[in-house]
Amino acid sequence: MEEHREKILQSRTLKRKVVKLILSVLGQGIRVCRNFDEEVRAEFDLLPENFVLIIGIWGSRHPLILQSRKDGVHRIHESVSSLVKKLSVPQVISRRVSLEQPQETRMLEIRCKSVEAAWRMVTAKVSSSQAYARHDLLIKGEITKAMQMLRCIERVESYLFPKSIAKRVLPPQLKIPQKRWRMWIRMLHVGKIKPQRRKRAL
Amino acid sequence: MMPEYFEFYNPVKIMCGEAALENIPYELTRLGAHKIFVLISRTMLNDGILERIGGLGKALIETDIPKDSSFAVVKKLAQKALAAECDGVLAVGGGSVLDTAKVVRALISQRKTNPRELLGNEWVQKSSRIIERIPFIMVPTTSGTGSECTSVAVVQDEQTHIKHEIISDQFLPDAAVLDPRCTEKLPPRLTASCGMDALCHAIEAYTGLQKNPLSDAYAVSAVKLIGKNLIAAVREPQSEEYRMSMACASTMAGASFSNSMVGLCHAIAHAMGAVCGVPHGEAVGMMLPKVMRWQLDAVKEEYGELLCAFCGVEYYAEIPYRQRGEKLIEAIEDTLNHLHQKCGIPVSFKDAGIGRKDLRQILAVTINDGASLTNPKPAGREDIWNILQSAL
Repeated sequence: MEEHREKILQSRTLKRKVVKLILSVLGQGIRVCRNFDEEVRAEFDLLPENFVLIIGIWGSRHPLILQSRKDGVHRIHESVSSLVKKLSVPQVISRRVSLEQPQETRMLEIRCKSVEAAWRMVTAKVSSSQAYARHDLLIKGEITKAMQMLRCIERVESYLFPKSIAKRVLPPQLKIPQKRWRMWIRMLHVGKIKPQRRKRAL
Repeated sequence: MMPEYFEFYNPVKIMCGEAALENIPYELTRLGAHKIFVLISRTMLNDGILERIGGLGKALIETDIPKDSSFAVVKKLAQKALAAECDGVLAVGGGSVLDTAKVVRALISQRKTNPRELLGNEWVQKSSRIIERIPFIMVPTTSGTGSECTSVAVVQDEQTHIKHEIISDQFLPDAAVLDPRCTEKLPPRLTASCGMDALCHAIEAYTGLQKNPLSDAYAVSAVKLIGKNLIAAVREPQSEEYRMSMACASTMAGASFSNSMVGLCHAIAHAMGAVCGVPHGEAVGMMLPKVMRWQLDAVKEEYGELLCAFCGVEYYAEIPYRQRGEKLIEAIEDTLNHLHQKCGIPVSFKDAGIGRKDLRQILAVTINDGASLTNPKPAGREDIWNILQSAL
């Protein structure tokens, strides 16, 4: 009995770690695609400056946090609460945050309801629309922006997933890009290049 | 087919039929409300609905509710209710009044005034520990939105003019009151367009990605009632029976789509409303057969099943299995054309005053609407563009 419970806990911990790893790969993918994929760039261009996207599991203190700035998408290693505090006091970071935009329009949080829900998504067992239909996705912020971001995530997934999986879980209208290995090479380099030089290097 | 997983939630007490309005004071007292914030449309106030309800004591009455409430309007109303220390909400009106009341109630139950803090889908607020239970009763005065049984509210951003959908269980009222006297002065055109809206809710709920056996039961019953009563309710508005049937159908369709979500037809209709100001029911009615035809291959079986509910078992039995889906679309087109001739609801973009120049903007708004995500057939920009072209 004790062994069985231990096994469940271990499996959950492992799944949580795998989800975290895949989310960071996804984050890296978004950062790269923001600079070289036209579709992703077009979606990000419509977002307000310094827009923050948070993706993770409900209740997790360390989700993936990305911020869209003029020079590209940056990963932020900060807790959500301190980030919210910063965004709700615009004058503190007035150089970076537009005062006209209320905090709620500059931030979007997409969370999976549980580790299992996140596991199903990151392992491509369900598509994002299926996850939404199963009530697995919680959204805080504007749903219109969530739709934009889901399209970006699907686009990035079309580079990341093997073709057979991509065809199964991604919308049929989404064309699977050619030369996807380029994206992987860029992903391996993106962390090493300074932000101001990244665009040229890519 | 049984879904792998589904959720169904509908805790609303339905009070339906003759003299239902008069039970409201008892229900509010039972729920523990003392000072009621009444949001009511001016037409309904002038019709003496509140006098019929009676026994509301020193209620705070608000009639200044625009067609599409903005964040600013909702904020102002929440501040007003909090300042007056209201501990109950009663909403009497159409979709806009009910949606406004939903957000106001959610705000005052959390002692907040900023509606933007509620934006999202099924998000549990961190402050949920301090949520106060504010008794909430809704009285719909149109038979279409089904808002009294849905966990969705739409509020407009006054800066960007985008209509934001907010989804939360907190929006469901404690009770919904369906009284035939509330719809007796409804113009035929409004009865027709609201009926088409309810029909679309039921059909999209029956085919949506979140569909489940419980939502299906509500959807089929709603389609059955609409099939039998919509044209009759427009033809004979004085008939209580037809109006009650439509009110009931609208509520059931609302409960159904609140759990299984609407689809592309609603996404396009929301965009038509935002870009060209087309009334929601009319936009939905216009687009319904077009969207159905586009996705017939994906949901042929479901449409075939609904033919029985919409046209009756005898007609259904006469039609071969493979043709049933197509026949449902034809039956809906016939209904729409009949209503067009009877009371002038539009059947094409030309009738609604939408030109070719508006299509790009409608497409841009549609693609970002949450409703398009749960459509049974995934729709890309090109698909939506073709559907819009077909409506010109």
